[in-house]
Amino acid sequence: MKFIENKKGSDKVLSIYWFVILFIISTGIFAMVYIYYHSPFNVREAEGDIMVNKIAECVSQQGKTSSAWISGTSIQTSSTCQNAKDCQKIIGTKIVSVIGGIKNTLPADLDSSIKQEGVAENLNCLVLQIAMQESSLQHCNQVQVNGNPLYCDGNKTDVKALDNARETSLGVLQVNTKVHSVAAEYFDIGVAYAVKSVLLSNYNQYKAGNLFTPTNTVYSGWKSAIRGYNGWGSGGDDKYVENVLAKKDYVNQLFPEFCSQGAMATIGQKKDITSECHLNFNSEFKEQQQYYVQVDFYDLKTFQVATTANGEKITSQPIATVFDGNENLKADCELQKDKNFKIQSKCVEKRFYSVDDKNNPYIINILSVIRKTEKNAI
Amino acid sequence: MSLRFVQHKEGNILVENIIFIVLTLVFFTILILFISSRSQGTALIEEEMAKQIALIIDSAKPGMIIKINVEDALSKAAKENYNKNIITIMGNVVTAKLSEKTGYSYSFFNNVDASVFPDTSSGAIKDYIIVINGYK
Repeated sequence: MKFIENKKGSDKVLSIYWFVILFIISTGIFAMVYIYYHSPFNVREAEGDIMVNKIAECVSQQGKTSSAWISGTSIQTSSTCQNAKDCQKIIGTKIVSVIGGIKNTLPADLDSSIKQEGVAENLNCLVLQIAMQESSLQHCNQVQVNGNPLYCDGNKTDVKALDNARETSLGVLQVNTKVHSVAAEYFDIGVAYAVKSVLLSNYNQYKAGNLFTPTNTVYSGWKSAIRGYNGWGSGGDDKYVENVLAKKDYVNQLFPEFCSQGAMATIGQKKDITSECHLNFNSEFKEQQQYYVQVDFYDLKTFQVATTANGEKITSQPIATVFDGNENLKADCELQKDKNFKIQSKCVEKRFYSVDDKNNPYIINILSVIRKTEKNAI
Repeated sequence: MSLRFVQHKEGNILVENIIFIVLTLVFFTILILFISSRSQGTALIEEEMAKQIALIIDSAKPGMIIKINVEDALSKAAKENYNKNIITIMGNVVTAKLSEKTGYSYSFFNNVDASVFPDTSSGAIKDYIIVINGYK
Protein backbone atom coordinates (compact mmCIF):
# COMPACT_ATOMS: atom_id res chain seq x y z
CA MET A 1 0.00 0.00 0.00
CA LYS A 2 2.78 2.42 0.91
CA PHE A 3 4.56 1.44 -2.22
CA ILE A 4 1.53 2.38 -4.38
CA GLU A 5 1.24 5.83 -2.75
CA ASN A 6 4.87 6.50 -3.38
CA LYS A 7 4.36 5.57 -6.99
CA LYS A 8 1.58 8.16 -7.35
CA GLY A 9 3.81 10.83 -5.91
CA SER A 10 6.54 9.93 -8.40
CA ASP A 11 4.13 10.35 -11.35
CA LYS A 12 3.26 13.90 -10.27
CA VAL A 13 6.89 14.84 -9.78
CA LEU A 14 7.65 13.42 -13.21
CA SER A 15 4.93 15.62 -14.82
CA ILE A 16 6.39 18.76 -13.27
CA TYR A 17 9.84 17.78 -14.50
CA TRP A 18 8.41 17.12 -17.94
CA PHE A 19 6.98 20.64 -18.07
CA VAL A 20 10.21 22.13 -16.81
CA ILE A 21 12.09 20.34 -19.57
CA LEU A 22 9.45 21.40 -22.10
CA PHE A 23 9.76 25.00 -20.93
CA ILE A 24 13.56 24.93 -21.25
CA ILE A 25 13.38 23.43 -24.73
CA SER A 26 10.71 25.94 -25.80
CA THR A 27 12.77 28.84 -24.50
CA GLY A 28 15.75 27.56 -26.43
CA ILE A 29 13.72 27.23 -29.64
CA PHE A 30 12.20 30.70 -29.13
CA ALA A 31 15.63 32.18 -28.64
CA MET A 32 17.08 30.43 -31.68
CA VAL A 33 14.20 31.48 -33.92
CA TYR A 34 14.35 35.04 -32.63
CA ILE A 35 18.11 35.29 -33.20
CA TYR A 36 17.91 33.62 -36.62
CA TYR A 37 15.14 35.81 -37.99
CA HIS A 38 16.48 38.94 -36.34
CA SER A 39 19.94 38.75 -37.93
CA PRO A 40 20.11 40.08 -41.48
CA PHE A 41 20.95 37.97 -44.52
CA ASN A 42 24.69 38.30 -45.07
CA VAL A 43 25.12 38.75 -48.82
CA ARG A 44 28.51 40.48 -48.75
CA GLU A 45 30.46 37.45 -49.86
CA ALA A 46 28.20 37.02 -52.90
CA GLU A 47 28.46 40.75 -53.56
CA GLY A 48 32.25 40.70 -53.30
CA ASP A 49 32.36 37.69 -55.60
CA ILE A 50 30.29 39.48 -58.24
CA MET A 51 32.48 42.58 -57.93
CA VAL A 52 35.70 40.57 -58.40
CA ASN A 53 34.23 38.89 -61.49
CA LYS A 54 33.14 42.23 -62.94
CA ILE A 55 36.60 43.74 -62.44
CA ALA A 56 38.25 40.63 -63.88
CA GLU A 57 36.10 40.98 -67.02
CA CYS A 58 37.00 44.64 -67.17
CA VAL A 59 40.77 44.21 -66.66
CA SER A 60 41.19 41.17 -68.89
CA GLN A 61 39.05 40.67 -71.95
CA GLN A 62 39.34 37.18 -73.44
CA GLY A 63 42.60 36.66 -71.59
CA LYS A 64 44.19 39.90 -72.84
CA THR A 65 44.97 42.75 -70.50
CA SER A 66 45.32 46.22 -71.86
CA SER A 67 48.76 47.63 -71.05
CA ALA A 68 46.97 50.84 -70.05
CA TRP A 69 46.24 49.14 -66.73
CA ILE A 70 49.92 48.54 -66.05
CA SER A 71 51.49 51.59 -67.67
CA GLY A 72 51.26 54.68 -65.53
CA THR A 73 51.69 52.50 -62.49
CA SER A 74 54.97 50.76 -63.19
CA ILE A 75 56.09 49.35 -66.52
CA GLN A 76 56.36 52.07 -69.10
CA THR A 77 58.41 50.33 -71.76
CA SER A 78 55.72 51.01 -74.30
CA SER A 79 55.71 54.74 -73.42
CA THR A 80 57.70 57.09 -75.55
CA CYS A 81 59.88 60.04 -74.69
CA GLN A 82 61.53 62.82 -76.63
CA ASN A 83 63.77 64.61 -74.13
CA ALA A 84 66.38 63.25 -71.71
CA LYS A 85 64.34 63.92 -68.58
CA ASP A 86 61.23 62.09 -69.82
CA CYS A 87 63.39 59.15 -70.89
CA GLN A 88 65.04 59.11 -67.47
CA LYS A 89 61.57 58.88 -65.94
CA ILE A 90 60.72 55.86 -68.08
CA ILE A 91 64.03 54.11 -67.39
CA GLY A 92 63.79 54.86 -63.66
CA THR A 93 60.25 53.54 -63.41
CA LYS A 94 61.30 50.41 -65.24
CA ILE A 95 64.17 49.93 -62.77
CA VAL A 96 61.70 50.17 -59.90
CA SER A 97 59.45 47.57 -61.51
CA VAL A 98 62.40 45.17 -61.93
CA ILE A 99 63.29 45.64 -58.26
CA GLY A 100 59.63 44.98 -57.41
CA GLY A 101 59.88 41.70 -59.28
CA ILE A 102 62.85 40.45 -57.24
CA LYS A 103 61.95 42.03 -53.92
CA ASN A 104 60.55 38.80 -52.54
CA THR A 105 64.05 37.33 -52.74
CA LEU A 106 65.61 40.24 -50.81
CA PRO A 107 65.60 40.76 -47.02
CA ALA A 108 62.51 42.60 -45.81
CA ASP A 109 64.21 45.32 -43.76
CA LEU A 110 66.37 46.86 -46.51
CA ASP A 111 64.20 49.94 -47.02
CA SER A 112 64.21 50.86 -43.35
CA SER A 113 67.98 50.48 -42.93
CA ILE A 114 68.64 52.56 -46.07
CA LYS A 115 66.34 55.30 -44.84
CA GLN A 116 67.80 55.14 -41.34
CA GLU A 117 71.34 55.63 -42.65
CA GLY A 118 70.16 58.57 -44.75
CA VAL A 119 71.69 57.38 -48.01
CA ALA A 120 68.32 57.30 -49.78
CA GLU A 121 64.58 57.10 -49.09
CA ASN A 122 64.47 53.36 -49.86
CA LEU A 123 66.14 50.66 -51.98
CA ASN A 124 64.41 51.82 -55.19
CA CYS A 125 65.78 55.33 -54.75
CA LEU A 126 69.28 54.13 -53.87
CA VAL A 127 69.43 52.09 -57.07
CA LEU A 128 68.08 55.07 -59.01
CA GLN A 129 70.84 57.26 -57.52
CA ILE A 130 73.47 54.70 -58.54
CA ALA A 131 71.94 54.45 -62.04
CA MET A 132 72.01 58.23 -62.25
CA GLN A 133 75.70 58.24 -61.33
CA GLU A 134 76.59 55.32 -63.61
CA SER A 135 74.71 56.17 -66.78
CA SER A 136 72.50 59.22 -66.18
CA LEU A 137 69.64 56.70 -66.28
CA GLN A 138 70.42 55.77 -69.87
CA HIS A 139 70.57 52.17 -71.05
CA CYS A 140 71.44 52.76 -74.72
CA ASN A 141 74.08 54.80 -76.52
CA GLN A 142 71.45 57.30 -77.57
CA VAL A 143 68.84 58.70 -75.20
CA GLN A 144 66.07 57.37 -77.45
CA VAL A 145 65.30 56.22 -80.96
CA ASN A 146 61.78 56.87 -82.24
CA GLY A 147 60.84 57.80 -78.70
CA ASN A 148 61.96 54.44 -77.28
CA PRO A 149 64.70 54.73 -74.60
CA LEU A 150 65.13 50.94 -74.60
CA TYR A 151 65.51 50.54 -78.36
CA CYS A 152 68.87 48.78 -77.83
CA ASP A 153 67.77 46.23 -75.22
CA GLY A 154 69.73 43.01 -75.72
CA ASN A 155 71.83 44.44 -78.55
CA LYS A 156 75.37 44.70 -77.15
CA THR A 157 76.64 47.09 -79.81
CA ASP A 158 73.97 49.71 -79.05
CA VAL A 159 73.94 49.33 -75.26
CA LYS A 160 75.74 52.06 -73.34
CA ALA A 161 79.19 50.69 -72.51
CA LEU A 162 82.49 51.65 -70.97
CA ASP A 163 85.13 49.46 -72.52
CA ASN A 164 88.79 49.57 -71.43
CA ALA A 165 91.49 47.30 -70.07
CA ARG A 166 89.96 47.34 -66.57
CA GLU A 167 86.32 46.87 -67.42
CA THR A 168 83.55 46.28 -69.95
CA SER A 169 80.61 47.83 -68.17
CA LEU A 170 77.20 47.58 -69.79
CA GLY A 171 73.77 49.09 -69.45
CA VAL A 172 71.97 51.45 -67.17
CA LEU A 173 73.79 50.20 -64.05
CA GLN A 174 77.12 49.64 -65.87
CA VAL A 175 77.69 46.08 -64.70
CA ASN A 176 81.31 45.11 -65.38
CA THR A 177 81.03 41.99 -67.52
CA LYS A 178 84.77 41.37 -67.18
CA VAL A 179 84.19 40.62 -63.50
CA HIS A 180 80.58 39.42 -63.55
CA SER A 181 79.36 36.78 -65.93
CA VAL A 182 75.97 38.24 -66.79
CA ALA A 183 74.13 39.35 -69.93
CA ALA A 184 73.90 42.94 -68.73
CA GLU A 185 72.96 44.14 -72.21
CA TYR A 186 69.47 43.00 -71.29
CA PHE A 187 67.94 45.70 -69.11
CA ASP A 188 65.96 43.44 -66.72
CA ILE A 189 68.79 40.93 -66.27
CA GLY A 190 71.40 43.64 -65.73
CA VAL A 191 69.34 45.55 -63.15
CA ALA A 192 68.33 42.44 -61.20
CA TYR A 193 71.96 41.23 -61.15
CA ALA A 194 73.36 44.63 -60.14
CA VAL A 195 70.98 44.95 -57.21
CA LYS A 196 71.20 41.42 -55.91
CA SER A 197 74.67 40.23 -56.75
CA VAL A 198 76.67 43.47 -56.64
CA LEU A 199 75.02 46.02 -54.36
CA LEU A 200 73.45 43.67 -51.83
CA SER A 201 76.40 41.29 -51.91
CA ASN A 202 78.76 44.15 -51.01
CA TYR A 203 76.40 45.29 -48.26
CA ASN A 204 76.33 41.84 -46.68
CA GLN A 205 80.10 41.49 -46.97
CA TYR A 206 81.26 44.93 -45.81
CA LYS A 207 78.43 46.45 -43.75
CA ALA A 208 80.49 46.08 -40.56
CA GLY A 209 83.09 48.45 -42.07
CA ASN A 210 85.94 48.29 -44.58
CA LEU A 211 88.90 50.53 -45.40
CA PHE A 212 89.03 52.12 -48.84
CA THR A 213 92.77 52.46 -49.16
CA PRO A 214 93.03 55.05 -51.99
CA THR A 215 91.45 57.69 -49.72
CA ASN A 216 92.11 55.95 -46.41
CA THR A 217 88.38 56.12 -45.62
CA VAL A 218 86.43 53.49 -43.72
CA TYR A 219 82.97 52.88 -45.14
CA SER A 220 80.29 50.88 -43.33
CA GLY A 221 76.61 50.03 -43.77
CA TRP A 222 75.08 51.08 -47.10
CA LYS A 223 78.02 53.39 -47.84
CA SER A 224 80.22 50.30 -47.96
CA ALA A 225 77.73 48.73 -50.40
CA ILE A 226 77.93 51.82 -52.62
CA ARG A 227 81.73 51.87 -52.39
CA GLY A 228 81.85 48.17 -53.22
CA TYR A 229 79.62 48.75 -56.25
CA ASN A 230 82.42 50.85 -57.80
CA GLY A 231 85.17 48.61 -56.42
CA TRP A 232 87.51 48.71 -53.44
CA GLY A 233 90.70 48.92 -55.48
CA SER A 234 92.38 51.90 -57.10
CA GLY A 235 91.52 53.15 -60.57
CA GLY A 236 87.85 53.74 -59.93
CA ASP A 237 86.02 56.85 -58.76
CA ASP A 238 87.50 57.76 -55.38
CA LYS A 239 84.54 60.03 -54.63
CA TYR A 240 81.97 57.50 -55.82
CA VAL A 241 80.04 57.27 -52.53
CA GLU A 242 79.83 61.04 -52.18
CA ASN A 243 78.78 61.37 -55.85
CA VAL A 244 75.96 58.83 -55.43
CA LEU A 245 74.73 60.55 -52.26
CA ALA A 246 74.78 63.87 -54.10
CA LYS A 247 72.23 62.48 -56.57
CA LYS A 248 69.65 62.07 -53.81
CA ASP A 249 67.89 65.42 -54.29
CA TYR A 250 67.74 65.10 -58.06
CA VAL A 251 66.29 61.57 -57.86
CA ASN A 252 63.79 62.60 -55.18
CA GLN A 253 62.58 65.41 -57.43
CA LEU A 254 62.43 63.24 -60.54
CA PHE A 255 60.63 60.34 -58.82
CA PRO A 256 58.46 61.79 -56.07
CA GLU A 257 56.11 58.79 -56.41
CA PHE A 258 58.89 56.49 -55.14
CA CYS A 259 61.26 58.77 -53.26
CA SER A 260 59.34 61.54 -51.52
CA GLN A 261 58.98 61.41 -47.74
CA GLY A 262 56.71 58.50 -46.82
CA ALA A 263 56.32 57.34 -50.43
CA MET A 264 55.26 53.73 -50.87
CA ALA A 265 58.21 51.45 -51.45
CA THR A 266 56.06 49.34 -53.72
CA ILE A 267 54.26 50.72 -56.71
CA GLY A 268 50.66 51.53 -56.28
CA GLN A 269 48.33 54.23 -57.39
CA LYS A 270 44.75 55.22 -56.95
CA LYS A 271 43.00 54.75 -60.23
CA ASP A 272 39.46 55.51 -61.24
CA ILE A 273 38.48 51.84 -61.45
CA THR A 274 34.85 52.77 -60.85
CA SER A 275 34.49 54.61 -64.15
CA GLU A 276 36.80 52.23 -66.05
CA CYS A 277 34.70 49.22 -65.00
CA HIS A 278 31.26 50.88 -64.76
CA LEU A 279 30.98 50.70 -60.99
CA ASN A 280 29.21 53.05 -58.61
CA PHE A 281 30.55 53.16 -55.07
CA ASN A 282 27.77 55.37 -53.71
CA SER A 283 25.39 53.63 -51.36
CA GLU A 284 22.62 54.21 -48.84
CA PHE A 285 25.39 54.73 -46.27
CA LYS A 286 26.20 58.41 -46.71
CA GLU A 287 28.87 58.75 -44.02
CA GLN A 288 31.59 56.66 -45.68
CA GLN A 289 32.27 54.60 -48.79
CA GLN A 290 31.42 50.94 -48.35
CA TYR A 291 33.69 49.50 -51.04
CA TYR A 292 37.40 49.02 -51.76
CA VAL A 293 38.98 47.27 -54.73
CA GLN A 294 42.63 46.56 -55.47
CA VAL A 295 44.17 44.98 -58.55
CA ASP A 296 47.75 43.66 -58.30
CA PHE A 297 49.73 42.70 -61.38
CA TYR A 298 52.52 40.15 -60.88
CA ASP A 299 55.17 39.05 -63.34
CA LEU A 300 54.42 35.36 -64.00
CA LYS A 301 58.15 34.57 -64.22
CA THR A 302 58.83 35.71 -60.68
CA PHE A 303 55.42 34.92 -59.15
CA GLN A 304 55.63 32.88 -55.95
CA VAL A 305 53.20 31.75 -53.28
CA ALA A 306 53.80 30.20 -49.88
CA THR A 307 51.44 27.70 -48.30
CA THR A 308 50.48 28.66 -44.76
CA ALA A 309 48.04 27.22 -42.23
CA ASN A 310 45.40 29.68 -43.50
CA GLY A 311 45.90 28.88 -47.17
CA GLU A 312 48.12 30.34 -49.85
CA LYS A 313 49.95 33.63 -49.42
CA ILE A 314 51.54 35.54 -52.28
CA THR A 315 55.19 36.22 -51.48
CA SER A 316 56.11 38.08 -54.69
CA GLN A 317 55.94 41.84 -54.97
CA PRO A 318 53.46 43.16 -57.54
CA ILE A 319 54.93 45.02 -60.48
CA ALA A 320 51.92 47.28 -60.52
CA THR A 321 48.99 47.97 -58.23
CA VAL A 322 45.86 50.01 -58.77
CA PHE A 323 43.11 50.60 -56.25
CA ASP A 324 39.94 52.56 -55.69
CA GLY A 325 37.41 53.16 -52.92
CA ASN A 326 37.77 53.41 -49.17
CA GLU A 327 41.38 52.45 -48.35
CA ASN A 328 40.61 52.12 -44.63
CA LEU A 329 38.65 48.93 -45.28
CA LYS A 330 41.73 47.02 -46.42
CA ALA A 331 42.96 46.65 -42.84
CA ASP A 332 39.94 44.41 -42.12
CA CYS A 333 41.28 41.80 -44.55
CA GLU A 334 44.52 41.52 -42.57
CA LEU A 335 42.50 40.94 -39.39
CA GLN A 336 40.46 38.19 -41.00
CA LYS A 337 43.37 36.14 -42.23
CA ASP A 338 43.39 34.17 -38.99
CA LYS A 339 39.75 34.38 -37.93
CA ASN A 340 36.50 35.46 -39.54
CA PHE A 341 35.00 38.39 -37.64
CA LYS A 342 31.34 38.95 -38.51
CA ILE A 343 31.32 42.70 -37.97
CA GLN A 344 34.44 43.34 -40.07
CA SER A 345 34.26 44.11 -43.77
CA LYS A 346 34.09 41.08 -46.02
CA CYS A 347 37.07 40.48 -48.29
CA VAL A 348 37.01 38.38 -51.46
CA GLU A 349 40.19 37.66 -53.40
CA LYS A 350 40.73 35.91 -56.74
CA ARG A 351 43.61 35.61 -59.14
CA PHE A 352 44.00 34.58 -62.75
CA TYR A 353 46.46 34.46 -65.62
CA SER A 354 46.52 36.99 -68.43
CA VAL A 355 48.83 38.41 -71.09
CA ASP A 356 49.26 42.00 -72.25
CA ASP A 357 49.38 43.46 -75.77
CA LYS A 358 52.96 42.20 -76.16
CA ASN A 359 52.16 38.73 -74.82
CA ASN A 360 53.97 39.39 -71.53
CA PRO A 361 52.41 36.97 -69.02
CA TYR A 362 50.94 38.22 -65.75
CA ILE A 363 49.17 36.91 -62.71
CA ILE A 364 46.43 39.34 -61.78
CA ASN A 365 45.12 39.32 -58.22
CA ILE A 366 41.87 41.14 -57.48
CA LEU A 367 40.73 42.00 -53.97
CA SER A 368 37.27 43.38 -53.23
CA VAL A 369 36.18 44.55 -49.80
CA ILE A 370 32.54 45.20 -48.90
CA ARG A 371 31.61 46.85 -45.61
CA LYS A 372 27.80 47.35 -45.28
CA THR A 373 28.13 45.82 -41.80
CA GLU A 374 24.91 47.36 -40.45
CA LYS A 375 22.81 45.66 -43.13
CA ASN A 376 24.55 42.30 -43.14
CA ALA A 377 25.91 41.48 -39.73
CA ILE A 378 24.26 43.44 -36.92
CA MET B 1 -13.23 -0.71 -0.81
CA SER B 2 -10.69 -2.00 -3.22
CA LEU B 3 -13.11 -1.47 -6.16
CA ARG B 4 -13.69 2.24 -5.31
CA PHE B 5 -9.99 2.79 -5.00
CA VAL B 6 -9.36 1.42 -8.45
CA GLN B 7 -12.14 3.55 -9.97
CA HIS B 8 -10.83 6.69 -8.28
CA LYS B 9 -7.30 5.97 -9.43
CA GLU B 10 -8.35 5.51 -13.08
CA GLY B 11 -10.25 8.85 -13.02
CA ASN B 12 -7.18 10.71 -11.78
CA ILE B 13 -4.95 9.28 -14.44
CA LEU B 14 -7.35 10.33 -17.24
CA VAL B 15 -7.66 13.95 -16.07
CA GLU B 16 -3.94 14.30 -15.52
CA ASN B 17 -3.24 12.88 -18.93
CA ILE B 18 -5.71 15.17 -20.68
CA ILE B 19 -4.28 18.25 -18.94
CA PHE B 20 -0.79 17.08 -19.80
CA ILE B 21 -1.64 16.57 -23.48
CA VAL B 22 -3.52 19.89 -23.75
CA LEU B 23 -0.67 21.84 -22.17
CA THR B 24 1.84 20.13 -24.44
CA LEU B 25 -0.28 20.97 -27.47
CA VAL B 26 -0.60 24.59 -26.33
CA PHE B 27 3.16 24.82 -25.99
CA PHE B 28 3.81 23.47 -29.45
CA THR B 29 1.03 25.54 -31.03
CA ILE B 30 2.51 28.74 -29.58
CA LEU B 31 5.93 27.65 -30.79
CA ILE B 32 4.74 26.96 -34.34
CA LEU B 33 2.77 30.21 -34.48
CA PHE B 34 5.82 32.13 -33.28
CA ILE B 35 8.09 30.51 -35.85
CA SER B 36 5.61 31.00 -38.69
CA SER B 37 4.98 34.66 -37.74
CA ARG B 38 8.71 35.31 -37.67
CA SER B 39 9.46 33.53 -40.93
CA GLN B 40 6.65 35.20 -42.85
CA GLY B 41 7.03 38.74 -41.53
CA THR B 42 7.01 41.61 -44.03
CA ALA B 43 10.40 42.82 -42.82
CA LEU B 44 12.01 39.53 -43.71
CA ILE B 45 10.45 39.35 -47.17
CA GLU B 46 11.40 42.97 -47.87
CA GLU B 47 15.02 42.41 -46.90
CA GLU B 48 15.28 39.21 -48.90
CA MET B 49 13.71 40.77 -51.98
CA ALA B 50 15.77 44.00 -51.88
CA LYS B 51 19.06 42.12 -51.48
CA GLN B 52 18.21 39.55 -54.16
CA ILE B 53 17.32 42.25 -56.67
CA ALA B 54 20.46 44.27 -55.82
CA LEU B 55 22.62 41.17 -56.44
CA ILE B 56 20.75 40.40 -59.69
CA ILE B 57 21.42 43.95 -60.94
CA ASP B 58 25.08 43.71 -59.87
CA SER B 59 25.48 40.60 -62.03
CA ALA B 60 23.45 41.95 -64.96
CA LYS B 61 24.67 43.43 -68.21
CA PRO B 62 23.08 46.14 -70.35
CA GLY B 63 20.26 44.83 -72.51
CA MET B 64 19.12 42.20 -70.03
CA ILE B 65 15.47 41.89 -69.04
CA ILE B 66 14.87 40.01 -65.81
CA LYS B 67 11.49 38.74 -64.63
CA ILE B 68 11.03 37.89 -60.96
CA ASN B 69 8.05 36.18 -59.35
CA VAL B 70 6.68 38.21 -56.43
CA GLU B 71 3.33 36.50 -55.80
CA ASP B 72 4.03 35.85 -52.12
CA ALA B 73 5.19 39.41 -51.55
CA LEU B 74 2.14 40.83 -53.34
CA SER B 75 -0.27 38.74 -51.24
CA LYS B 76 1.52 39.97 -48.14
CA ALA B 77 1.21 43.55 -49.37
CA ALA B 78 -2.49 42.99 -50.09
CA LYS B 79 -2.99 41.80 -46.51
CA GLU B 80 -1.35 45.02 -45.35
CA ASN B 81 -3.65 47.04 -47.69
CA TYR B 82 -0.64 48.31 -49.62
CA ASN B 83 -1.49 48.85 -53.29
CA LYS B 84 1.53 50.80 -54.56
CA ASN B 85 4.61 49.39 -56.33
CA ILE B 86 6.36 47.01 -53.98
CA ILE B 87 9.77 47.38 -55.69
CA THR B 88 11.35 50.69 -56.68
CA ILE B 89 14.82 51.76 -57.81
CA MET B 90 16.16 55.23 -57.05
CA GLY B 91 19.69 55.88 -58.31
CA ASN B 92 21.57 52.76 -57.30
CA VAL B 93 19.34 51.81 -54.39
CA VAL B 94 16.63 49.13 -54.56
CA THR B 95 13.73 49.50 -52.14
CA ALA B 96 11.22 46.76 -51.33
CA LYS B 97 8.12 47.96 -49.51
CA LEU B 98 5.16 45.77 -48.53
CA SER B 99 3.34 48.11 -46.19
CA GLU B 100 3.06 51.81 -45.46
CA LYS B 101 5.12 51.58 -42.30
CA THR B 102 7.91 49.26 -43.42
CA GLY B 103 10.46 49.10 -46.26
CA TYR B 104 14.02 47.93 -46.90
CA SER B 105 16.67 49.48 -49.14
CA TYR B 106 19.92 48.01 -50.45
CA SER B 107 22.40 49.49 -52.91
CA PHE B 108 24.00 47.89 -55.96
CA PHE B 109 27.43 48.81 -57.34
CA ASN B 110 26.85 48.06 -61.03
CA ASN B 111 26.63 51.53 -62.60
CA VAL B 112 23.69 50.75 -64.86
CA ASP B 113 20.46 52.53 -65.58
CA ALA B 114 17.95 49.98 -64.25
CA SER B 115 14.17 50.31 -64.17
CA VAL B 116 11.57 48.08 -62.53
CA PHE B 117 7.84 47.79 -63.10
CA PRO B 118 5.02 45.24 -62.60
CA ASP B 119 4.35 42.80 -65.43
CA THR B 120 0.76 43.47 -66.45
CA SER B 121 0.86 41.38 -69.62
CA SER B 122 -1.01 38.42 -68.11
CA GLY B 123 -3.79 40.27 -66.28
CA ALA B 124 -3.22 39.79 -62.57
CA ILE B 125 0.24 40.89 -61.51
CA LYS B 126 2.44 37.98 -60.51
CA ASP B 127 5.85 39.18 -61.68
CA TYR B 128 7.98 42.30 -61.72
CA ILE B 129 10.27 43.08 -64.66
CA ILE B 130 13.73 44.60 -64.26
CA VAL B 131 15.20 46.18 -67.38
CA ILE B 132 18.92 46.97 -67.57
CA ASN B 133 18.99 49.82 -70.07
CA GLY B 134 22.71 50.58 -70.24
CA TYR B 135 25.69 51.96 -68.38
CA LYS B 136 25.29 55.42 -66.92
